[in-house]
Amino acid sequence: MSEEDQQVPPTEEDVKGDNTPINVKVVSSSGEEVFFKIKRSTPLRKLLGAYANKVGKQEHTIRFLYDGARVAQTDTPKSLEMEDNDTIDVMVEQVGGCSP
Amino acid sequence: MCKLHFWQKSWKVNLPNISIRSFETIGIGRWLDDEVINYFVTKWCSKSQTTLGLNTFFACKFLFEGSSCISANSVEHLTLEHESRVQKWCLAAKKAQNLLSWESVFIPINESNSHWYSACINFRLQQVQIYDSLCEVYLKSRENPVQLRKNTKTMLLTEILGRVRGEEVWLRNNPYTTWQFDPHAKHVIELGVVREDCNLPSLDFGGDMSGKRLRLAQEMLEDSS
Repeated sequence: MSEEDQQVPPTEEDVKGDNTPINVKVVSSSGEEVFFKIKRSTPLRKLLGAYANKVGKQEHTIRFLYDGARVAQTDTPKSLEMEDNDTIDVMVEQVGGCSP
Repeated sequence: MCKLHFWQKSWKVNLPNISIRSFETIGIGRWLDDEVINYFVTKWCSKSQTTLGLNTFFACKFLFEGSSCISANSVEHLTLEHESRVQKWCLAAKKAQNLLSWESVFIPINESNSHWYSACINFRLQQVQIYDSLCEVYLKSRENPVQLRKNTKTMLLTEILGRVRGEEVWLRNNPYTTWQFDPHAKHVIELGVVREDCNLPSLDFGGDMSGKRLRLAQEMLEDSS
C-alpha cells in the first residue's frame, strides 16, 4: 500500500499482450476530474496512491469504484476490462452515528 | 470485558476492504465507517436472496446534490446516461451478492458525514420507506411540498429500478398509484440498516448498543477466520 511505489505508470510491470496505456478519468463526487494515463496491467491501487497524493488526501480515506463496484487492491484495467477514457468514481471515507 | 484493541492484538481481520482502522469503528461510542456498513449490507443482502443492497456511495452519486446528502438532486428527470449508470451499479451489486433476482432494494445513506439512515424500495409491497432515527429532520422535511423533500428522488429511482426489473412503475404526477411512499417513516434503527420488510435480519439499536456492536465485531471475526 503506502510503502509501495506510487508512480503511474510503474516501470516494472509485466508486459504481456496488449499493454498499451489507456486514459482513465477519475471523477470526484463533486464532479472534479483528474486524468491519468495508465498501462493496462498496472494495479489500480497505484493510481489510487497517485490520486491521493495529487489531492492531498491519505490513501486509506479514498475509495475507487468502477461502474459501482469497488476496485480491489489487485484489480487492473485489464482485469476490469476497462476501455480508453473510462471513468473511475472516487469517493471518500464516510462515517456516521445515529440519534440516541 | 473484551475490548476491541485487545482483539486487535489477538485476531486478524482478513476481509476485503476492512482494515483494522475500519474494524475499530464498531467500537462502543465510535461512528461506523462506510466499509463496515458496506460489508454488512453486502453480506446480509446476499443472505436474503431477495434484497439488492446498494453501497453507501450510491445515494450521494444519484439521489442528492453533493456528498453530504442533504438536498435532493436538482435533476428533474434522471437522464438516459444516469439511468444506464444506475443499471450498472445495480448489476455490480447483484453480482457481488450472488442474487438471481431481487424484489427490494436497500440503500444506506450517509448524511453530512455524521449520520446513517436508509431507504428501502420494496416492489413486492409497493412501498418506498425511509428509516431515519433523527425525528426532527424527517418531520421538518415533511413540511415541504413533495418535490422539495430531501428523499423525493427515491421516487424517480423507483421508476428506474422498475424498468431494470422489467416492470412499469409510474409515480410522477400519478395520484392513482398503488405505491405507498412515506419519505420519513418513524423507525428508530441505528446502523441505518435492516428491516424485516427487506427480509434482512433486524437490528434494533435502541436498547443495549454495546452488546449489538460486540455481536457485529464477533461476526466479522468469525467471517475472517
